[in-house]
Amino acid sequence: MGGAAGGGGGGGGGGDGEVRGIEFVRYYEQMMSRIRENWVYVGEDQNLAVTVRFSIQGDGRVVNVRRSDSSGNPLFDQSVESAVRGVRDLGPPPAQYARDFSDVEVTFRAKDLAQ
Amino acid sequence: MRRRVVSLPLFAAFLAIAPMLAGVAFAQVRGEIVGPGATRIPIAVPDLKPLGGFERAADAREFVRVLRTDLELSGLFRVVDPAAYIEDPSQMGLTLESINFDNWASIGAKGLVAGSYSGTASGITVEVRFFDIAEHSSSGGRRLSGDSQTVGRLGHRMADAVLEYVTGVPGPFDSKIAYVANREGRFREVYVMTLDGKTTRATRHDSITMAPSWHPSTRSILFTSFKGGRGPALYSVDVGNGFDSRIASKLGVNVGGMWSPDGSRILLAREEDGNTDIYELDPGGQQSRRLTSHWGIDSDPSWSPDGSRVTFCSSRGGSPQVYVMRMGSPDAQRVTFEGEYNCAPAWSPDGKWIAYAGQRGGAFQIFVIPAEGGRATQLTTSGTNEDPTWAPDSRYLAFAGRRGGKRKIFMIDRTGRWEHPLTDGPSDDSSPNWSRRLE
Repeated sequence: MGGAAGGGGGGGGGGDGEVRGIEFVRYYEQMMSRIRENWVYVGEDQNLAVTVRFSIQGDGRVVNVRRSDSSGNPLFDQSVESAVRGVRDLGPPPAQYARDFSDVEVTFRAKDLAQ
Repeated sequence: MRRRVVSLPLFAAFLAIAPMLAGVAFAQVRGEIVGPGATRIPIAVPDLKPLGGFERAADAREFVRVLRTDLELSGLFRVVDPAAYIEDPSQMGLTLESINFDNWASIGAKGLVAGSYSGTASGITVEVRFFDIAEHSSSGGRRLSGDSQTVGRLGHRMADAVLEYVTGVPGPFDSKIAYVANREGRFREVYVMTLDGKTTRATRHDSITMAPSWHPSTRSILFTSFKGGRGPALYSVDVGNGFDSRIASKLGVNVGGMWSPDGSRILLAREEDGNTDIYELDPGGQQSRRLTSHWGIDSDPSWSPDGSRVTFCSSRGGSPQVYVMRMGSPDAQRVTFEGEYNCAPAWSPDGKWIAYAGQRGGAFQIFVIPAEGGRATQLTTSGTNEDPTWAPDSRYLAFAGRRGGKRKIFMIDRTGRWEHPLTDGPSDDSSPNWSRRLE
């Protein structure tokens, strides 16, 4: 029932054309894994997706969590917001990538659309 | 839950992709998560805080036991082991300002159902609130009172309220399931169980009883009995005092009695002139009206929740299949098209679904299909399973399943992802029928 670390994660990267190193990847994977482990969705509707945007402060605290859109299902929307808010502290991001992780956007899908 | 793991191509993280659309404020870091990490909410349910009044500690413990049992049984929650709780229920705060959310978060709980009780002259009053630990918020609660004899029902009603808080629909736990079993000897009698496992015997016919079906008031159960060796007859038993009465006793096959949603009529399958058809009876069983007249065998009738339509099993197409018929119309529409044998249809209380047992590979499995027709979903995959019945919330079903030994009553959710046995022991348990919510 519980998710394996990194299982189900996909995508990744950013938006300014920079090349990032292994420390970026390690922190990114840890962030995605922690959020996914924290995501509990008990609804039946599986054809849902919603995007959440947030900031990770220099000390690792997750702040300014807000949805970029809505899935149309309040139970699903609430589950993803709680997943991000519940993480609270991810540990300090690598200093050279602190600015990157100050603006993060994660899209949550209830199921793989390819299935 | 089956999930396809999407691997993260390493280069995708190394090489950031330039925004495709100029002027759009893209986040610095983006990602995608497919499928939740868990499909059960870890929830803490501490003992109630005593506020005084009459000594009712045993009632309070029973309330919490039933509440925890129901929440686990729902498949939506995993109750965190109370031994891990840091907070002392007798001392803890119960307001947003006084609750130590970090203490609950540290033991892995995401939800908290906590409250207090006061002992009254005849029982207890409980007041419970629901808290979201991640959000540090509370958006619901319930105050209930009852006597010591019905404290279990208070637990069920609180569990139903917790499910409503989470899903938007009240849970099914303040209800009962009637079923047939040979628990006390060779005879098959009707029994009634609550969802926390308490079972009482409803009939003493010393015979074969079959097909129990609740009256919408939940005060009596319709059933078929071979009492007296005179062939099957339709009876009704009052679950309050145990008295029963014979309703219809025509010779021949006379089974499948089911009350209409308003309690004014009864549907049953009856054999007359060598053929079995669906009949409608008045509550006393005196006047009957034949609803189907086809050479095929028509059986297992079930009302739509508004009483305007009937679903039933018929062999009129060459093999037993599920059909739907509007009351007063001679035409029936076939609903199932996959498989050679689909029977025992049951219409969901919300009107959206029909559950049935379908034969696949030599065994019967439970299926759900949209009532207006469409693609069927197979809920069970192991053993052989029969006689589906809907919970009052249309989220869960019960059925009789054989998994190697004797048949047992199981509970399953409408997606088939969560299944749990409701009965155990050496008896053969069958024909479950789930009541409406108790009055």
